[in-house]
Amino acid sequence: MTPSGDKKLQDRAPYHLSGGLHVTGRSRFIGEDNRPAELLFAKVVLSPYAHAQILNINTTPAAEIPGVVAVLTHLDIPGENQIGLVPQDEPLLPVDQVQYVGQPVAVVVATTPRIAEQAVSKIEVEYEELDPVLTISEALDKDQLYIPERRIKRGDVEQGLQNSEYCMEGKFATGAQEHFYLETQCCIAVPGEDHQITLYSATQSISEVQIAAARILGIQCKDVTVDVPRLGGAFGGKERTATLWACLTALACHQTEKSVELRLTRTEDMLSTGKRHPFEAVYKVGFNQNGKIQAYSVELNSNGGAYTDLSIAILERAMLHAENSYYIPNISITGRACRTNLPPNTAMRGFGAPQSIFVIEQVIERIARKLNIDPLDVRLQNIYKTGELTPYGQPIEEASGGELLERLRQNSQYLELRKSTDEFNQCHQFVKRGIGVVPVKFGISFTSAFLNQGSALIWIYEDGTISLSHGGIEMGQEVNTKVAQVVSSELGVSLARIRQESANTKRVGNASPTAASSGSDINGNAARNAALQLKKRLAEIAQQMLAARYNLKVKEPRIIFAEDRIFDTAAPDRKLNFEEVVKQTYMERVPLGAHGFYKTPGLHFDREKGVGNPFHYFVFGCALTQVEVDLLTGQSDLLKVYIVHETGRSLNPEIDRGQITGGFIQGMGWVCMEEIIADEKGRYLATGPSTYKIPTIRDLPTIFEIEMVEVDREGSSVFRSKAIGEPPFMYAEAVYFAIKDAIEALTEHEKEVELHMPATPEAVVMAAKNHIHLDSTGTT
Amino acid sequence: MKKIIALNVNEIPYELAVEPNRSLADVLRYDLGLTGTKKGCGIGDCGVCTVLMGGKPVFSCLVLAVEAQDHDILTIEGVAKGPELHPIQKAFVEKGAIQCGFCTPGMVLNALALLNKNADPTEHDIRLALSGSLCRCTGYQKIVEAVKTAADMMKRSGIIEEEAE
Ligand code: FES
Ligand code: FES
Repeated sequence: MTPSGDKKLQDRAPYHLSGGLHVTGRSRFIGEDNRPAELLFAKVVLSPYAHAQILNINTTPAAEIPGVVAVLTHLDIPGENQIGLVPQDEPLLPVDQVQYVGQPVAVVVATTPRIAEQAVSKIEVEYEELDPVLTISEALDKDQLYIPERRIKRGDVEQGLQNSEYCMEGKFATGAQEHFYLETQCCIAVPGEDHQITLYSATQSISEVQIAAARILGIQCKDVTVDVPRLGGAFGGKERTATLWACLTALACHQTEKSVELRLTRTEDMLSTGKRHPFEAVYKVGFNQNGKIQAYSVELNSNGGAYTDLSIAILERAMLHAENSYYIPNISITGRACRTNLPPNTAMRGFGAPQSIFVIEQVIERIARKLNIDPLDVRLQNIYKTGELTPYGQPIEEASGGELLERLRQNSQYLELRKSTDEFNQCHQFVKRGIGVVPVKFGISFTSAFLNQGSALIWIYEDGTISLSHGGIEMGQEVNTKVAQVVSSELGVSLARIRQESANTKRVGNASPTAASSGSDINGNAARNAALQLKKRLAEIAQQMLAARYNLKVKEPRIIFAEDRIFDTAAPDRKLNFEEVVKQTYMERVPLGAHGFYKTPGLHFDREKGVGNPFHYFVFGCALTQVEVDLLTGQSDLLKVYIVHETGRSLNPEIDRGQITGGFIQGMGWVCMEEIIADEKGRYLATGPSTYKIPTIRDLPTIFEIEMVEVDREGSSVFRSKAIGEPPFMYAEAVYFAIKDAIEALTEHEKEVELHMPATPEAVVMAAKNHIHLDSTGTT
Repeated sequence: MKKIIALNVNEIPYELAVEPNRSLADVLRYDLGLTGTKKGCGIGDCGVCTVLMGGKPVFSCLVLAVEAQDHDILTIEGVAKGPELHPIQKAFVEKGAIQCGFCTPGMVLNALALLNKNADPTEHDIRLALSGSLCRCTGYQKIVEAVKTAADMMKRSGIIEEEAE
């Protein structure tokens, strides 16, 4: 593989398009721009029960408080009480039963937030408590599945197991994760004439909010405008979840005919919103003496929470990543999405893949332990080679996983690191070090093929400046910077000419959610398509102008757009200004606006059969981490992290680097710090940063080296770049395995320990305690 | 009962009537329109509401507006004097220490408080000074790099005024 790259584009790779605004406090988030002067405030009554019959709602005492403008229940919904998409199973406000703790039951609208809060406490809801179903096993017992179980199969697992030299079976469970975007869920709704409404919603999906709000209000999509300037973080938590809060705000606005703001407190947000799906997996694996896996069967069961939300798509992505980076000849993957009485679990970075990848990586670690082979070698033994097929039949066209692992081995000086780690462990009794390695293969595209489309709208104004709209939502991943780069590079103009507009349903219809790491791919391609149409028109005019002005007659004109100038390669010193060509194009009555469109080619997936090509391409990479664990306190410190990540021809390497770092640290939170526990009544116990610990700046490793390998490949995306958002999240699983490795050093790696995930200090102590024997003097 | 208070924010004096239980963060955001100060938790646990009060970082969600009387308040809007960015701001942009930008104001102000009293911070000092500010996007690495770069830039341009602690 030869590292290369679009140097021209990268040399000009700009900083964060809004960086200057963010550092001066002038960037505007929802509710900070054009705040309506007469704004009302909505506050929501949340269910205290995970499952209960609603017997009565008495709103009178609340409605009588001065300053309360309206108290709304399901009875006040003018349209259909439904915010679910496929299937439609989620009411905006429940009619007879609440299904999770934190579910909105009624909405108060008042003149100040404080009055709204008081009024909420005066609303009397009578419930009859019902038994909740909270865990995956209860749901499986009761057969509470969202869809009949799904399966992807290849070969003959039973036969494969029989033919293997070794067989093992086991279970592995992964925990939930709170998104913890710093900006909580919020929306401002502004009424307009003729029943129109504008929603400034913190959503990753303007179209979904538009459709749901129209349905709730009994109006039509043409009456609903959704506008998103930017989000203060999302990570999947504002993909489907935002629709609920946007529709509640829309309802409040519609009924009062006033502008309304709804903004959740951190506690409300953490209590009521869904998380990353917890999964429980059961597996069997057969392998040979050299560590080569012959057969693998895995059942992936997810806790979907109280409504379908995105559970089915998440289960699907989990199943499509169950083999991670490994070719397994005989494989059977079964998936079940369970309905429980927890807040509807939802999209979060990785979208099911981190969960299933964790299981196969756990299996690999166990094989290595069993055979006493280095886990890195077991991984190499099984890693995909070019041309091999995934379990669902998609060929791995250029499998670079093995090569990247070799690079990782070199970068981390693996052998020496192992040796020094072992030496350290030999002379430390209760402080141990460990190493973990994880390769990742991540498929890019929405697995629902129809979502893989993007639209963009470009207007070039008479003065040569440009308005750029696309369906992507800016939430920190800098999709706006990347898409603007694409346009500036096609039209050969500086970024300063381009105004990146908010995402707005009036300018971009049918926009797919900004998710699945695909934001820059589909919107960048769509914007490029629009830019190319304009370029063609401008080039024709430019050619006429060159001919007229310089008497330039060229048989086969090659018009170039660069540095705000337009010229023909035949006479590169005869240049026209971009503005003058624009002006002339306008005078000639040639349109200066273009709508661009893109759909990802070649995607198909047969869900029933579990075969197809669901992904446009794959992203590959791997990570190695070293940790130091105090086995008596359970505290672990991350010492070293090495990541090797294959990008395409990165549009903006520094943005990509930021995504790798951010994704890794967020993943680290999931695997060893962040724990969400629901009590026996289904109530989340962690409802704020004091009880839910996300990584802080002090958790950064001492050494954090990232190598980005640029590969120029036909099958990638816009300007041969590759998506970056999600794949790095899974690298952090190496931290968990490093912690496990450290604990196992207690027994010279002879015994396997059971380590709960997340590997919190408590989990570490529990895992280590059976292997630590303290006598009364405190020595082993 | 509202109380009339005098606030000095970014060297501009304001006189305004506030409820005694109103937080400084809310007054800055909603009464003065200084929305650069964010709110992420409202209970002193995330740091996005950080402002400098008498040069020291405080969580403005935990400070009552009435308590802020007679103190000099510096918010993110007042960090750059004139159109030029302050070196810390410049370094945050150039080092890519910003993703969604929601934590950025608090981070910049914490960094400013640090560099004002310690021109030559070690990595440990930086981590300590910024540990009250959460960021869910960046993974912090580029933030640390930005603060280091800013320290260098400030030393070179002689901006650092040593302040007595
Ligand atoms: S909003 Fe003040 S610390 Fe979180
Ligand atoms: S940049 Fe988003 S929270 Fe820090």
